[in-house]
Amino acid sequence: MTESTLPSAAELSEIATEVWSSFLDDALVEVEHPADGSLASDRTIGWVSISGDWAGHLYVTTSGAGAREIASNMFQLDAGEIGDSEIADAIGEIANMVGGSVKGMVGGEVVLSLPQVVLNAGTLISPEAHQRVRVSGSWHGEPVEFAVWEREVDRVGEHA
Amino acid sequence: MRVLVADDSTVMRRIVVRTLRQAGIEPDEVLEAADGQQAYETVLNDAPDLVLSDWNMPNMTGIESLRAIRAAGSDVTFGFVTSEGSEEMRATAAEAGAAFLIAKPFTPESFRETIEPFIA
Repeated sequence: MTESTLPSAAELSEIATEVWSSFLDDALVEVEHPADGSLASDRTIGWVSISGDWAGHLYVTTSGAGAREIASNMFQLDAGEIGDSEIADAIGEIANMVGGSVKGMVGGEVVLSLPQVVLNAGTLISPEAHQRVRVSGSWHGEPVEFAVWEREVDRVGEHA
Repeated sequence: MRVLVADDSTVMRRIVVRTLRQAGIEPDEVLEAADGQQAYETVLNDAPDLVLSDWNMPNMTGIESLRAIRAAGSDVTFGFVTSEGSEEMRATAAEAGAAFLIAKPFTPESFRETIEPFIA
């Protein structure tokens, strides 16, 4: 098994802002983590999972309004032309691109899942996983957060 | 030139086509596939000149699609446009017959530099 290296917050921020500058207008601005839980409700959450020598998830979370604006910008369509499938497609692809870079950094024998997206999410709970790195940003006045969660690998077999 | 863009993300297929044009590469026709199986069938049925394919797709991955395309006898110019660009994946792609691998995120400049030599 290869020793895995998680990205630092600065490295995760660099990955996210590079994706942003390549595919969206205007910069993603990194901000202090909101203390008041501004993403507490009406979240759109996209993620990819990494499994193998290292196991975990890369989450991208934004507000419902932010998700629609992101999809509108990436598709280059008016917000009124954006439906749930376009939002899921765009947020999932951002998670896929950032997650792909994270996969390359953790190294070892790992595979990347296809992206998943949940609209109108409330609380994010990922059993057996812990948030290890988080970057908060703002784009067009909407919050955007990137987080790497590490999953506890099942060690039961090692004690058999 | 007829270009097949294979990606399970609709927005990424649009962005790839948009970036091609920004790079000064103007396809006569753009074909699309939402997974590797569709890409394989489109190559055999419609014989595009260039394939730009994602790697991680449902039903059949990009690398599985490329291997099936080569096994079927097609020598279409095939390049990956994917979120993962490790040296190991680049080697695997080249071994299977890919002309290049462009890692996401990409720019019109990286498209031009990488793709132009194969379409001259």
